[in-house]
Amino acid sequence: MLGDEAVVRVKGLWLRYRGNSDWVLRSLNLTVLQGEFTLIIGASGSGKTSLIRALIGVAQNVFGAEILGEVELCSKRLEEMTVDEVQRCVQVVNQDPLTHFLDPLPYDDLLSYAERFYGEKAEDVVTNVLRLFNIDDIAEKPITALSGGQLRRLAIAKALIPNPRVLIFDEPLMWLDEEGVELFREALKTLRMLRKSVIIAEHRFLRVLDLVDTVYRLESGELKRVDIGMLSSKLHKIRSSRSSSCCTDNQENKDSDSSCEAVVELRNVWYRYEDSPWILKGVSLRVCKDDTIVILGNNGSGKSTLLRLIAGVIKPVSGSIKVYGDLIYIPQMPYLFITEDSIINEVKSLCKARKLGEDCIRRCVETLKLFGYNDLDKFPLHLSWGQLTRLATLLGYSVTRGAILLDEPFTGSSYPEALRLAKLLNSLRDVAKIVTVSSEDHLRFFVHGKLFRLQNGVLKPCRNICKPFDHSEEEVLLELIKA
Amino acid sequence: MTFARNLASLFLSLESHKKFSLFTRLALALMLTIATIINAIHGSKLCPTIFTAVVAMLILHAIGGLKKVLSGLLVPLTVIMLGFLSIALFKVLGFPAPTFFEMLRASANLATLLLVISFFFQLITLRELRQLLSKVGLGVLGSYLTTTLALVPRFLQAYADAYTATLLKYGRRKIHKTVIAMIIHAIIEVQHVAQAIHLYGLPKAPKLAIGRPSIKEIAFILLIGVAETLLFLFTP
Repeated sequence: MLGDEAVVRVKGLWLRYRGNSDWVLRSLNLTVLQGEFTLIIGASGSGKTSLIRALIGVAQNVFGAEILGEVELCSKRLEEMTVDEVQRCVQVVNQDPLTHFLDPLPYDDLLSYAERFYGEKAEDVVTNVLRLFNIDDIAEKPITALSGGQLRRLAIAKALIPNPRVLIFDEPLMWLDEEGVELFREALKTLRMLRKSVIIAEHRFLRVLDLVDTVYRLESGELKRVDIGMLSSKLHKIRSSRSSSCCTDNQENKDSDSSCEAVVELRNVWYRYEDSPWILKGVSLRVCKDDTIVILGNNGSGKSTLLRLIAGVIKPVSGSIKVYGDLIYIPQMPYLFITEDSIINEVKSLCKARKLGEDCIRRCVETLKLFGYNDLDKFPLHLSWGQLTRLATLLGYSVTRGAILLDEPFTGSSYPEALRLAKLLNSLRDVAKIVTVSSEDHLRFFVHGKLFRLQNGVLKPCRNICKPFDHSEEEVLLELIKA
Repeated sequence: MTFARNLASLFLSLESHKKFSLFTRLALALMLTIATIINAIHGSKLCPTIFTAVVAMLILHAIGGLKKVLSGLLVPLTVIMLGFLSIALFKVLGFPAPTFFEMLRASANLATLLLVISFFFQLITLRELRQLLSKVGLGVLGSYLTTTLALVPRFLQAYADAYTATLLKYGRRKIHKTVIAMIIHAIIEVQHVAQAIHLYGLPKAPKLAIGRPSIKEIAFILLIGVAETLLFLFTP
């Protein structure tokens, strides 16, 4: 049951960032009622994160954005609200969960925050929210030892501490594994019972569509309402063609390619951080030229650690890793790959460093333009998370000759954008691709790849039984996102 | 790059060590740090330096953090050792250089100073540090300081990733470009912190029990304090 009171009211909102003449949001209107669940979809870079920043005043106060129009939260104008009032009315879970922590230990961080509202009862509150997400154990570990998905769960728990009326989630499913997605869905159901209002901006919207009341598409800076009935019927086929699990046990991958030309070879690799339990237990993997290796694993299963070992960021405790040929490594934080002040300079430096000449630059530019990177003088930091991740992947794709290591390359990308990127990666010949994913959603992009599941430190081959997206499904997704 | 992770862990006390009260941990950490600094200023005596290092290592061993600290200090200690060796080489070649004993004293003192700084952070959590600074009227400074210190492990871990990504991207000749990646990272981190402060406010000082030290703890603190003073005053 939706209430009559509008807890979020946005009227004629315009937003643009400093030094940028283009408006990201253009006379945008939005009303969210008490108890209403609103989903916002749109291509990456369409302005979803900017809208969320504007709703809580971060765009104005932190990013120095120019804002026109009105934002009203809990029946009060945003500019008239104190920080405490904003916190009690609305809480945001950002795209990058690291933005939420000011203490190296999540438990301490949550406790410090809870003490502001509950004083001596803070510990009980923190214990309850941690139990809600089944994360009591990880809250005691330092944030540097946690995976992106684990941090996200903690960030969601933190947002629930002040018991706000409105919760805003910016890509809540990014980096979350299947268990995390289910827990998030359960949390949404709980929030529904508590009559909270929820705004979700999400690329993997198929997983939350059945839980929302209203859907908007953010397009050209405006919100356009999407008919949820029409949407559900169009998407029914896509959702039903996904099996409960894409990854079924299979021993075929194992040792099947001993004759091919190896690019990366891991033999009985064991790894753990100082005095921690083993993260990898005797991992062996032979990656051949042309292979697409997809590693599926839950949050904290050791996927990023495995890629870091191959890249040489860390050394195995025992076992051997051999790399024959050159590697490109795109970390989970895509901006750590960026070293130049413009996209075109990234292209030029990369091609020059690898002595690939003008042809490489031309090819790179063509590929980037195909993916909508038309302003090549743009400072990469001004791109959205999804755009930045794709940029790094495309740059790596264009120059690599050995193997490319991609740590969650689809974060921040809508379904069509991710699908397109995956198609491009699949088309890459004579290069090995090692891709880590947390979600089974992305396995449909790699039906011809070699699939492995990393679980309890053991890498096991499995068979991908999901069907690839067919043309009509792609059309539906494209139409929805208008990507 | 495991080094970066180990170094990062030096600034993190993973738990509030229940073996000692906060009072005792604070007294020990401050006493050893101050003793090392005074010793460094007034003559770098070898006996008190060795005593401080041994006490710090024994306590770290007792709370289970010795291995972690030594792993983190491996590189700085190696650099000190290389400095020591290069000055020794100067001496052998006949260039002006301090005496062997002076070199040993200076190197030992520097190594001990690094050890006690990490000892301090192993014994006192950032939450406790925030509370302690707030008690002496430096609450705001405590919030800023602990917020900044909390970023150090994140920064070092990002450095490891950026270093490898740049190395694989450009090779060793242009590894300096890691600095640009880290500048970008710093800009983003600053935005993160600003956002977090905007969303949640600066972390406030908690109300923690300082804890009443036991007789054994007081005796332990006194014993170390007296021994440290005697060694400083009466040894060469």
